Amino acid sequence: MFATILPDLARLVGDEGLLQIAVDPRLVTLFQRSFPNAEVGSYDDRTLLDPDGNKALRFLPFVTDKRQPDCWLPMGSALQYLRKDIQDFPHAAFILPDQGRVAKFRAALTAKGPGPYVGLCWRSMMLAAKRAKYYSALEMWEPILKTPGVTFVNLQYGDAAAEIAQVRERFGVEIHAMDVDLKDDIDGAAALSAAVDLAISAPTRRPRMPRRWGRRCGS
Amino acid sequence: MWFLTAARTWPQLGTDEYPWYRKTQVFSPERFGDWATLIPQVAAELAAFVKNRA
Repeated sequence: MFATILPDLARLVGDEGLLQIAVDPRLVTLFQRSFPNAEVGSYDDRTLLDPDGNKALRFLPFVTDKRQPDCWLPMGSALQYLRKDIQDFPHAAFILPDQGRVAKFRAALTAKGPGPYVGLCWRSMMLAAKRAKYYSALEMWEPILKTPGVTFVNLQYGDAAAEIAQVRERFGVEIHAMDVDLKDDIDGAAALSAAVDLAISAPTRRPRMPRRWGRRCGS
Repeated sequence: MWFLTAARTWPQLGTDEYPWYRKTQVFSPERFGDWATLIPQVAAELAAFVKNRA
């Protein structure tokens, strides 16, 4: 979500400067492709054992490998300067999925059935009783699942096999699981999200990234 | 992207959409967590989406 500020920061840093972006290891490939002029790397997290309790420390070795940055900031903090109004939020897409993988997924989807292809993400992997009210159970999705003329595609990360089987048995509807690890292969998840015609999602704990995916490839 | 929420959330910044993700369409029920009312509305939208593409 806060990554929407990155194109602005890249512009402000300019050709003379260098933007370094620290993200989760699973996002490095996707972000490096999307910001080819930036240096994208990941964290080296450690825990400091302390008499007062363990302290989480986050190191960024790649940032200082070759130079000392002039300044640094948490990704979201530039919002106070650059997003003072709703109108300041941009419309342009900036995350670039792997077009080769998008095409491969598109071809694989064609083999599953006719389009449109609709991706479904129906619950958080962090689902627990106290959170359950925020997440619609898959069975409640019945009216959506029974829409004719749609080929459904699984975008649900984590183990979804039991629920997919449940939907198959109860509603006679197939939610096609594609060959990708949606939890750890974020670049693959981005490509699949770009390959479908529409994605429908309940709120998830995953930072809300997929919403930006695929715009540049027209889906 | 269609995004179903149990209620309005702070990232919507008081709007009916997600300013962070302009092409996202948000569906949230009048009453908190009232999925039974919301889901058929989304299903109707999906049927219209399919029809428009045909």
